[in-house]
Amino acid sequence: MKDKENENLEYLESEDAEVLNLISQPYKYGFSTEVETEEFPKGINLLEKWNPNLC
Amino acid sequence: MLNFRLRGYKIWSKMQAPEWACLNYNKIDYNNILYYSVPKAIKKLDSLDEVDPNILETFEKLGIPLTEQKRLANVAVDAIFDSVSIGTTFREELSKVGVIFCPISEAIKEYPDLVKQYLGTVVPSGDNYFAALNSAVFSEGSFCYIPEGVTCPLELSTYFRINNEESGQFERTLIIADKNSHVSYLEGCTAPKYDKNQLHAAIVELVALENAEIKYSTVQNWYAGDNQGLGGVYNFVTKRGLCAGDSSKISWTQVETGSSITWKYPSCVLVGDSSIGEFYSVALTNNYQQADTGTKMLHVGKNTKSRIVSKGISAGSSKNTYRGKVQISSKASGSVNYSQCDSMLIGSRSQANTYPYIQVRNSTSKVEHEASTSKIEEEQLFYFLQRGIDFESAISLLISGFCKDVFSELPMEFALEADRLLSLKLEGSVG
Repeated sequence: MKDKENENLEYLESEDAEVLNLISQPYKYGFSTEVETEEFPKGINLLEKWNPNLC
Repeated sequence: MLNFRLRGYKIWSKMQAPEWACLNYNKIDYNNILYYSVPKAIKKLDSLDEVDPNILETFEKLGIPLTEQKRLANVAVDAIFDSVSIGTTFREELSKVGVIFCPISEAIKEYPDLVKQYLGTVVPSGDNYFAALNSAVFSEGSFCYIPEGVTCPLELSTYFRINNEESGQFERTLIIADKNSHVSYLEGCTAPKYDKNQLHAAIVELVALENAEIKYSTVQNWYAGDNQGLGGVYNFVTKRGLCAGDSSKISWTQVETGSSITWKYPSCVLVGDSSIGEFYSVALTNNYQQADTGTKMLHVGKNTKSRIVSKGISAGSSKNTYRGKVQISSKASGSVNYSQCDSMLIGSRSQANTYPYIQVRNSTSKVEHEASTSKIEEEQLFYFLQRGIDFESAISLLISGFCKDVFSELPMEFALEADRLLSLKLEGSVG
């Protein structure tokens, strides 16, 4: 009885692995684009640094 | 706008990040993020054809061609790249019927009265931690105004692309449907694969006046991180619609497949009598993705109706949570809600959680809630296989069947894409 249960469990696990394999394909839109950018410096405290009286 | 931003910043700096969601993630260093990044070539352009060819090529590779000759028929697109709109198609055609569809930065300058009247009225700056953050730093997003009695002749769509590794995206979208008008809007989003997490904290506000209808669809396909959970977008979004007028209707449809962290509850405030709110959602998580998503339906007017259909699919070591609130006020007599939350588990390590909250404050309203949790059954697969349908097609059909109530709500041209996106692979596509 126990062996039969283990057999079923193994079968289900192998099936799950096949399903996982199916849905785990590479992300197609993961490329990046080379462009020159203009940026504000990092940080949300920028405003405080710029003019503490405003905050 | 400066005062609006400063107010948002003041509120945010006094708030704590919410910890009630079923999400575990590293603390975000808000001082290590770029809040504004634009391609150098983007100044004031007269035509989309003047945009940097690299950027045009990017959108073409994403399936969103913007040039005059190749653009999508019947879909007006606003393309947003990091912190700036690259351009909006079909604006002239839309303006002929009085529809305004433009980047919100432009709306603030060109239509200040409309923006002032509605911005922050549905999602106030102090609504939550991420709404306050967005109010302080938001850059770009789309603005739509549909005048009285007009059915928008085209689908409206915004495509969000984060490109800069160091940058977050903090857009704000505002849609106003005047009396007896109708609009269907779709948003899509993708991002490059980076090992670092990127922050996306957006706000969407919808206002439907008397007898107006807004249909808002999302195909969310941000980078989800690798199979070890490295990288991916942290997606914290506040979306809310106000059914301000009698007999108005707001319908949210979302297909969520990307992001390493999703925190998102598109909601409806049903103030107008006999107004209707709908929420249709499919959320698929795999590997180490975590999604805590759902909706709120707040019934204020009489005879208001809401419908919630949520489908969650969890695979790998992912965590998928539905969190919903249905609140029926004492004045909302004769109101009706129906909620259906189904979860499907794939594998033995994934999690599905459901947290429905229901508050009813009058005795004439009716609330129904159904929920189920299931796995792909051996018998179901056997049924397909013994009829000569291969394993891959069988899984595809089973997942399509599970999600069909949601896919049928998407605009036709995107429903097929969403079906393909979910049924077989996570490679994905957005309209």
